[in-house]
Amino acid sequence: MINEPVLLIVIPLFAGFLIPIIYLISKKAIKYIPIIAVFYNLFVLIRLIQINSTSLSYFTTGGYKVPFGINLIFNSQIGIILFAINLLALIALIFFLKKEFHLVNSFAYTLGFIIAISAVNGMVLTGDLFNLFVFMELAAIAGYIIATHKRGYYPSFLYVIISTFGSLLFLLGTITIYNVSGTLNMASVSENLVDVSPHFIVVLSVMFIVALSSESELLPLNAWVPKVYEKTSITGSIFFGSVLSTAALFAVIKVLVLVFKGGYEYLFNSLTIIGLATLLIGEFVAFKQRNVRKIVAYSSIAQAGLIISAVSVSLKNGTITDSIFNAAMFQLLNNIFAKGLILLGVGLLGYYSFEKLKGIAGKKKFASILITIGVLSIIGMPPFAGFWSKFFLIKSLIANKMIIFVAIFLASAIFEVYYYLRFIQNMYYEEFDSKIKINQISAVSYFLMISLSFMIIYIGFNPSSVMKTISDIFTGGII
Amino acid sequence: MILNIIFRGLILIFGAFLFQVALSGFSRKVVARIQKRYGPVFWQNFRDIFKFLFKETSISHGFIFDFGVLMAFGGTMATLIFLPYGSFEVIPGQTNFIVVIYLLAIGLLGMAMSAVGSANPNASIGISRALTQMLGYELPFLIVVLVMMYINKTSSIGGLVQSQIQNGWNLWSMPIGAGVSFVSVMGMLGKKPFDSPIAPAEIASGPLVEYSGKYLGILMLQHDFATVIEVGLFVNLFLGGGSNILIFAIKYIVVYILMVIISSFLPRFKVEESVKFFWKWGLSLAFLQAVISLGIYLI
Amino acid sequence: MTISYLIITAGIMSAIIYLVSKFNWKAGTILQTLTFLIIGYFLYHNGDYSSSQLAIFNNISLNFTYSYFNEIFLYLGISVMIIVSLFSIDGIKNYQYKPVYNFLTTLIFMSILGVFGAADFITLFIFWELMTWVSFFLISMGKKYSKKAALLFLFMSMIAAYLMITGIFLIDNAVGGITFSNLINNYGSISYSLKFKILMLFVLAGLIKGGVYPLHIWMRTSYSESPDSFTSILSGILMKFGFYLIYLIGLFFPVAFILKNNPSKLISELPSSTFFAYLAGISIIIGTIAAILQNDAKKLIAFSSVSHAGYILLAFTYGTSMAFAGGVTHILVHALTALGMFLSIGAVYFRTGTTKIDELGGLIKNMPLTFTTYLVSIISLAGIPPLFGFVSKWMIYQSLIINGSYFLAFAAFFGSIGSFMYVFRPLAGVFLGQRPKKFENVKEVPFFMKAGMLIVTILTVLFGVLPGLVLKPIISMQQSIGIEPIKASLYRLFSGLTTLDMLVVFTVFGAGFILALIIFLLFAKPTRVKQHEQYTAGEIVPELQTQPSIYHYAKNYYKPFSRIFDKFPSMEKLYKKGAEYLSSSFGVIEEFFYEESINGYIWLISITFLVIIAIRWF
Repeated sequence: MINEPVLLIVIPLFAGFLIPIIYLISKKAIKYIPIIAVFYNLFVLIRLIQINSTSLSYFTTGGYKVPFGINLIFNSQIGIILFAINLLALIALIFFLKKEFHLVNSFAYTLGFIIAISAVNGMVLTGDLFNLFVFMELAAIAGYIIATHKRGYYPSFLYVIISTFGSLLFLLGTITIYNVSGTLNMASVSENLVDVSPHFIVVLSVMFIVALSSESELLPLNAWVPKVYEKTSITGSIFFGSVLSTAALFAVIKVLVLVFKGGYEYLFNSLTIIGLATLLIGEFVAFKQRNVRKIVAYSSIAQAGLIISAVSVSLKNGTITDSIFNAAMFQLLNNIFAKGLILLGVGLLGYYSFEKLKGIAGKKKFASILITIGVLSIIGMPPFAGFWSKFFLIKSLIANKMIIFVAIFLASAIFEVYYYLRFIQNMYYEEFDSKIKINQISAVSYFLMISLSFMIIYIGFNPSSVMKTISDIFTGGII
Repeated sequence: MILNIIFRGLILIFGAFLFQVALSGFSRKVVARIQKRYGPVFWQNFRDIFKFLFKETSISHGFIFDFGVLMAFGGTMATLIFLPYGSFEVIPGQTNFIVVIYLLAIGLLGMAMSAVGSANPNASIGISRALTQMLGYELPFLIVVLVMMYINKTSSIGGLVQSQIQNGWNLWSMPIGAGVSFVSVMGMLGKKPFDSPIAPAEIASGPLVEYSGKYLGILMLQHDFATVIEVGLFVNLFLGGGSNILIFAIKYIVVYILMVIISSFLPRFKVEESVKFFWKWGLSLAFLQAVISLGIYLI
Repeated sequence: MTISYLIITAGIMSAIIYLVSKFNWKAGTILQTLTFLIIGYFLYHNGDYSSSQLAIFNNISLNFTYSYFNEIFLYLGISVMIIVSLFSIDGIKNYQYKPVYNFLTTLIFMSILGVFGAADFITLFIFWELMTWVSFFLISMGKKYSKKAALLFLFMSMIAAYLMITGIFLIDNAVGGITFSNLINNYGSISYSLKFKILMLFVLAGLIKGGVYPLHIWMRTSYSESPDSFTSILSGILMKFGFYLIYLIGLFFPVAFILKNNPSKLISELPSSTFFAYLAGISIIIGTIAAILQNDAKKLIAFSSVSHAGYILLAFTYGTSMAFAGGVTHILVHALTALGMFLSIGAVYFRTGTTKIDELGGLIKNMPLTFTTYLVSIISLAGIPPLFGFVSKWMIYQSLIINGSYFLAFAAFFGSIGSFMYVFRPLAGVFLGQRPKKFENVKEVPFFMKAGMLIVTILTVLFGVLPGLVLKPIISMQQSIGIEPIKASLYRLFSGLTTLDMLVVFTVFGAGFILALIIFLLFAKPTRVKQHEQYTAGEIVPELQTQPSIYHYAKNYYKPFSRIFDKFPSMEKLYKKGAEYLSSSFGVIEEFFYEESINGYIWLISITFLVIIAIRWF
């Protein structure tokens, strides 16, 4: 097999083109195409991870040399993160194809999903600004489709408006950068950006921060997140929670590291403040929620804020503070599994509000325990994965004397523990309302949940090795 | 050695019995004279106690009723052993103040259990008042004694007596403290104005309401022994004990009669009033004494 | 066997116990008791001090040690768990989720071994967190309001845990490692201000967990609402985690460091803190007063724990060797008394279904052993000789007197005398007095519950008469740490001021009792009369025959006393108000940022555009 990450983008895209054609022949057959595509992606990824080293490699496309052509960046660490993202996409896809295929407009949904996977891979891999814009638009449009569900159309409408505004700003920002630096390649832009007036950087900062905040669930454009999470389908919730948010966040981080290399104080300080504000506001608002999906949504917002502020703190001085950056990446990875597990779990139970979920653990013990594992991981309890990412984050932050940051982080973490465990308490220790119908959970679904729990527990018992596999993404050297 | 101690202990108990019962009988005469009457003969209390002890019937309300009485009586007699009387100490060297204070508590606890075990609400009310009031009078007393123990570098009563023989009575060196302790001991004895736990007309004698026959006799004995302990404490701590038991007895009589006289013309405090009184006046004066004495000592 | 093996054993056994309990919960609980016993035996049999490592989190290894400074705590934890587990063999009959309960309590046992046996801070923290979330689930299993109680417990515990982790990483920064030995070696190189910060963080965390006023708010509801067996564990050992932390950071490390440079010196002046000593005094006073005012037996004991937490803190921060020994002894005393009280109240609840004092009464006829356990425990709690509680109180008083601290001595006396009041109230209200008709046929508790209570009673008496049994390990611990040890023999204690001979006290008391018994038996035999036929001052009261419980004086037992405190402010109300205010402000934030309509975003979008244009233009 060839060492080409571009396959990860192209194959799902190709599958997307195939779907309308196959649809004309057989409506049911379109089920198999995305599955094959994603499985293929996973195999390619395994191979790529094995082949590539830990230093960053640039892969050109179409034979065009940098900085004229689009290039992709890849190393084994990015491969691991991509693997996790694609794995969750696979899980969401399997679930969709088994359970929800008949519930929605299957054609549009399947098409949207596979395009989204392609776009998500693209977001993570690309090294070109305009390319990033294209993939973000693509992911957003696919996201509009996935977000739509007969439970409520308004959230996806809100998402359209907000995301479009974000994309518009991103386009403006990209154009401005092209104007100033003459190139759209992220690494090259950073060299040209040094001579630009700080005035200008402020504008760029505002544009980029606002633009990218929509997809990555940061303030100020994350208003769609709770509403979409609440109303979308189960597949959609896993997609947004684990796949899209992670990829978008990673893309933002990539832009920050590559484009704004050299420590732009204004940008990183504002980003830290915005990130911390997102963290606090996310946790505070989550505190009052009585709907599990909304809780996960706000928690997702808060985690995004945390990761972004940790990353910008690590980038502040021009060179990356590895310990903080790696801890933030580890947190990103763990959230993929934990959020996916919780959303899948409550989706299988079928109800989201506290009233309906009261005491459901009495009837569905095993599913509740698996959901509990996911929750305990997010809130950072030993011996689960989330404990170690929190641990490393606090350790590196204190080692770098960011005491106020740690104080805010821990204060918000206390709230997080409180409201998540309040939800768990509600599941276990209340009287079950016998009028509520319980859904049957199939063996396949259990298998999916168990595999996610297994990942969490595995990471929980091997934190150092897992950390090592995703460490130093951008500082391992460049080929 | 042990036989010697047992013998001395028994002598002490018997002697205390004779002494205190006679003295309380005599105090009844004093009170009577204040009230312009003659009063009973001074051995009247002996008659009362023996009458009760030898009654043919007595009522018991259950196991804990009996057990508590025994605990109270036994505990009080045990406490009696741990005080010095002039130069007479039953077990030489074993006169630790904290042990005495706490063993007294056993007496109170035993009586409390037994009284409440009778299931009469009057008794329960009386006990709740007694416990509440205890929180009042113990604290100022303990603070004064604490300071005394610190200054004299000993926490045994015998040691405090010795230091007074050398340095003079604590009555003169800690006058405020002596006054506070005097009032506290009146509270301990349950004399007016601090007799709301007993409150004869209000709650039918409180804890003692269900006792009759030998129980009442034993409890009267217990009360007398407790009086010996408490007034004896005061004499030892503030009046220098006594170089022999006769001087001790004389000082004891003076203090006891003084207390009786004072309480004979005072009305009764409500229990929360007495607690407030002890906390407001008792504690502040005790702390004042502490500050003064520590100041003098350190300078 | 080293601690690491024992912890793994406990972990594996927890799963096995869960499975066995699913078949037969009694067998599972018996298995749990046996497991604890065997683990305790292996620890004892091992004899020598040892260190061990567990490298389960691949490069991160957990370090354990069984050494002179944590030996007593380990045995205390194991003993408490054995007794409670024994009690639970019958005691958890009415619990809803028995297999899960056994599983979780075995995990608690594991965390006790982990926290007390830790040789580095990370291990300590991991097992502390484990204890936190397992306790959360256990508390939630209780009565009606237990879920809110568990959340409050969780909130306060997380604050403590996060304060601790900050302190741990500050240590890591300062000395480059988080093992205890590393800290001891490099203690001197930490700057004074950093030392102070670290100390404050750990001490605050310890105070929250220990339940010292004003950080005690989680105690009342957690104790009263959790299942009774677990309350015994909470109060008996988990509360002591906080004091272990304070002991480590405030005492062990500074002293160990000093000793490194002067190996043969024995220190008599320990690190002390006036501020915390006074705070402890206030905690004693307020805990006592609050306990007196309670109407529910478990809440009363909860506040009593607040006041005893004050005693322990006072002892640890006072700074003399005798006070320190008194503090460690008081930890043991409080564990035993808390066990005794909670087990007996638990037994009452098991049979009657309530712990409210004014609903009970006269149960001594039905439950004599429970009564005895409770009586012995309260005598010990109040510090009355010749029981165990007197020993620790005596030691604390002696140090206070020797140094002339009159306010602190006042606080200590207040706590002691006040404790007579509040311990007597459940005795009078629950066991004595008139019995309600519905409890007429209440039986004594089953065998294993009786066994558990009996063990507690015997130990309390035994350690009271022969305190040397407990003091000897404490003395050797003091010597090994490097503190000048207190002087004590099997039944004698020596302070600078005087000698205490517990055997003499016990013997004299026994002799007095025998004398009283002789005098008592000399005279006429008494007539047994039913409790209903009482002296009513000549009035005829028909209800006394049919409804005797209306004459049970238990409601508002200390009403006159509570009148004194009617207008006093309450710390709990203050916290509650603060929490409500915070919660409503969260609602405001939600409305502001995440409102339903789209109008806000149009506004936001327009503003952003204007800002961008404005910056670029000017």
